[in-house]
Amino acid sequence: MTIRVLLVDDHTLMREGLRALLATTTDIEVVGEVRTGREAERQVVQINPDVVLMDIAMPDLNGIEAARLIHLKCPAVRIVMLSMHATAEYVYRAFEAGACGYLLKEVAVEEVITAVRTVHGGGRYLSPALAESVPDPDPGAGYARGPIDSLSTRERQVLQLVVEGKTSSEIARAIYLSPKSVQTYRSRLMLKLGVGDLPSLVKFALEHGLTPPK
Amino acid sequence: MTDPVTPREQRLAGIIASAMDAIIAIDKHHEITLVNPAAGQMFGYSEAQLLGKPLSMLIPERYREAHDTHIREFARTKVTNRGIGRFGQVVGRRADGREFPVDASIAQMELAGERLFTVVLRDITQQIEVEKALRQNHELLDRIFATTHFCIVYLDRDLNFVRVNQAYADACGHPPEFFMGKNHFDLYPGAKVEAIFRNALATGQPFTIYANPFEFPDHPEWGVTYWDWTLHPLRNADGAVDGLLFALLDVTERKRAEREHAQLAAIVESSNDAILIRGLDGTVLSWNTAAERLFGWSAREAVGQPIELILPPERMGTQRRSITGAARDASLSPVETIHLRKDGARIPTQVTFSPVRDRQGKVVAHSYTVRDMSELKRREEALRGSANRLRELSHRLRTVEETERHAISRELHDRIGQDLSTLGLILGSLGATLPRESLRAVAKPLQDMQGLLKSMVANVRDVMAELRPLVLDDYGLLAALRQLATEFAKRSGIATELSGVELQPRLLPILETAMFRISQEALNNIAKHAQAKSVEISLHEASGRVMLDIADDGIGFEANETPPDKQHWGLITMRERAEAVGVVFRLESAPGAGTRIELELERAAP
Repeated sequence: MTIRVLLVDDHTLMREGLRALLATTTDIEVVGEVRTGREAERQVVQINPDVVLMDIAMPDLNGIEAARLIHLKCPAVRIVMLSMHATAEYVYRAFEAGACGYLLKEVAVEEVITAVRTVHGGGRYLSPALAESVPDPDPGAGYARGPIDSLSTRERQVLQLVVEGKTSSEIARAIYLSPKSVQTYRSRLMLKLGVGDLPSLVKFALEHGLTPPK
Repeated sequence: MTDPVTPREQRLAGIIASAMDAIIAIDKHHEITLVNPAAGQMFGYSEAQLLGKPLSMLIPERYREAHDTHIREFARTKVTNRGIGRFGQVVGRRADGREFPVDASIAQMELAGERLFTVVLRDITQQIEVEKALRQNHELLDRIFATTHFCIVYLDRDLNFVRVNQAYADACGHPPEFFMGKNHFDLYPGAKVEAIFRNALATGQPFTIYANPFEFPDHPEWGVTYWDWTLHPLRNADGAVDGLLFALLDVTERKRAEREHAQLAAIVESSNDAILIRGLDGTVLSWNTAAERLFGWSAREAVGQPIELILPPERMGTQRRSITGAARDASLSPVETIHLRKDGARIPTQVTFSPVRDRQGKVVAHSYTVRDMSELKRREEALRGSANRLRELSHRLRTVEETERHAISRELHDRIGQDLSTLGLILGSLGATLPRESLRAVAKPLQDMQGLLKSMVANVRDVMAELRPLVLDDYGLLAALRQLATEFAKRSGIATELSGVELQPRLLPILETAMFRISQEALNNIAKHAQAKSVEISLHEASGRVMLDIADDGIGFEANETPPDKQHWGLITMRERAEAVGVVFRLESAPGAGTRIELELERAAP
């Protein structure tokens, strides 16, 4: 059984290079080539490849959005992003959209074969060069879930102390801020959480899991 | 002797009867033998009531004994007559009991061995009253002389001091006795003044001079003093001038006040600001040249007119309130307002009110200093206009720059980056497809080329990030901030925490760009100046308001003061950038308490 791969890239030379590279293996076969995300989304149903090897920056539906659609339609299809983008944001977005591999184009020559085999085998693949800047490619890791989680450490500290019924000057002493700053934090918190007054703020915090005073 | 009455005797009796003075004769027993009508009138008795009665009935009881003694003494002296007054007060007593002072003389003679006394009496009530009045007058004059602040000097014909008052003595710095007998012009020589004095003596004409300068020869440290003085020749009973009354008033203070007043007046007159005085009744009391120029009314037209002359009718309420305010107390700080010109034009002005007080501190008027602000306003407007144009220009420049950066960044990514990657792929495939012996020859350069390619791609990526992170365009502000925070932490070693929510929907590109660039600048500032250990960035949205805060725990600075130069420009740029797109920029900082920047944006209503 060979691994059937669909190539998605608007750059012809790139596709040709990839095809030539994959052709050097016996277990990987390129079963189709398309130039846009939109085409990929359409073709993938007919071709039903094992792996989609896809660029991100493309005209007419970018790679990540295409991945999202493909993943929805055919969850069995393994998608590997092949991109110039080396920042965590794109990696995160790609994995969140349903991709299970992400590699940088400039290392494709060394890594693409391994990547295709890894994802086809049920694993995830991330270029080692990216691992440093993307410590945890787990979708959603470190990203806000609830309104309280979206607060900064300082803000959560202030909120906790407010909930415990501390005054501005007590809070200021506790966390080495000026009382004025504490007040700024507090009014900012209320704005951010969309509550109008102090009692509502305390109520809101309790409802979202902060501990009341003991 | 019983001779018939002779004409001589008749004449004598007539004289006695018509005499003005009271005439009373008494015998040796002091009984009345003769009275004339004047005596009857003086004592209020008829002739019959008096004849044969003791004289003592005309004398108050307490004096009677002394009087008897006196007459007996007199009889022993054999002197024919004498005045009684020298022995003491002689007091008469009228029939109605009223007492009155009398001037009396007494004469005695022997007639047929009988001693007779004749008393001549004059009622001196009036005379005494006149004397008393005179004495009182004199005392009054003395008191005036002693207490007046006029300096008064009495000089004799030779211009020697006869008398000086305390005021004069004080003014000259000597006790009054010092002057007695000295010559005025020995003490205070002055040929011209002496000539004036001599002339007054010679002609008997008074002389007056005002604000005459004088220097005390014995007190040069007093400087020039000024005196109003008058010479008044004094005449003796014959009408001959025998002295001078010299009265002086020190007007040095007044003179100085006048000079100061003149200086002030000159300043007011030459001022470029219109200065006017408004009386408590609301009318103009004074109006300087600048006021004439500014308002178009001449001083002659304006003085006496109500102040409303220069108030535009539509502003009278506010102006009156300001005036009331000024009336209440100290001068108000300048107030910007509008005044009315004679030709009806409105002039932007700045007015300072201040109360004018008299010596007792009572407000008697108000002064207005009015400055014409037209030119200043014009310049301000021009300046504001050019500042706006400049801001607009810099905003447009930034937009153009961002567009360019975006285009270049895309270009680098889509063309150069892709091409380089493809090239890498081709080179890699080349290695895989070449026959083994050929490969050996090119393996090394091939490897070098691939290495070079990778570093080129890395460089292109850096340049792209520098120009404009594509993630900002692709995924919005939070994603771009996340990337920014990560890179900042890596580069600076400062712990950086980002919290926040994805903005739904995304902000307009122009706002995302501004907020991202400000964050970039803020982080740059922190890296350069703050000496912070950690930074917190948070992006939130609530009730249509987007809030982005960047806080560090660094050294901070006095937020009310201008921070050091470099940082200063950074702050200006951030603020400028924020305000250009309608984002509120706030900065909070204190030495030792870190710095916090808040950006706030109201989403446009959907």
